[in-house]
Amino acid sequence: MSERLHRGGLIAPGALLGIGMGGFLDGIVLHQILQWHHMLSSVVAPVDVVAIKYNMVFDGLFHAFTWVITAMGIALLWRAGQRSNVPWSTRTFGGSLALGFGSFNLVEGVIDHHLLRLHHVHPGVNEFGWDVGFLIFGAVLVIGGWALIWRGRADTAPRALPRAPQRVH
Amino acid sequence: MPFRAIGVVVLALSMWARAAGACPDCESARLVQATVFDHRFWMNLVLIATPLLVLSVMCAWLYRLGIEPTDTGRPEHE
Repeated sequence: MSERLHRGGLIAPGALLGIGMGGFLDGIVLHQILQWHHMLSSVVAPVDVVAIKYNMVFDGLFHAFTWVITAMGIALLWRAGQRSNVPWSTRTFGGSLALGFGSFNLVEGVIDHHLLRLHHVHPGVNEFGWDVGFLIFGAVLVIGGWALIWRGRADTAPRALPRAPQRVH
Repeated sequence: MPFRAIGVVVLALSMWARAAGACPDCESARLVQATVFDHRFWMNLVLIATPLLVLSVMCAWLYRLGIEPTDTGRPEHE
């Protein structure tokens, strides 16, 4: 009887960490540094101190959820490193990171920008173009990530050694 | 002695942070608090969490599915 490889054990934490990277990049660059949008900036336009602080609270809650996703990714990655049936593949992990990052753009873009209309990437005359560009960037990352994961199927060596059988007294 | 010095530094920093922190009882702070925690708060929270919940479900699926399992040819120890 042979041990089956569990690639999902590395793909899932990679995707979770990719989602975290995407969420934090969105929050840090687009919300805080460039200040193009905030989490609820199409609901309450940030035109005065109260409205900006209102949006800051919900930006913070978004970051808190993103932090939880990232922490879950770290925990699962640690677990994967200790298991002998999870292939420790750079291609699989890198692809999973890209898959997670791109999935964040796609899911967040479709739900928040197009369905719920909570905010737009760069509000203004070209906001639809920016929103679509955000989705295209996400789709490219998903396709590239999945291609890397697929190529990583050739990698089979785990990081952890198989456990030695316990002595029976 | 170092502990007393650390205590003094921590006390000074906490007083500084209190003075420099956002005004918790001024007009704008009260207005922000009332606006954030109004009847829409829980709905806003759900809306913000929705994409991340969808993505978490996707990751759970990826964890269970992975790519199709292949035979390592190694003996199973567990």
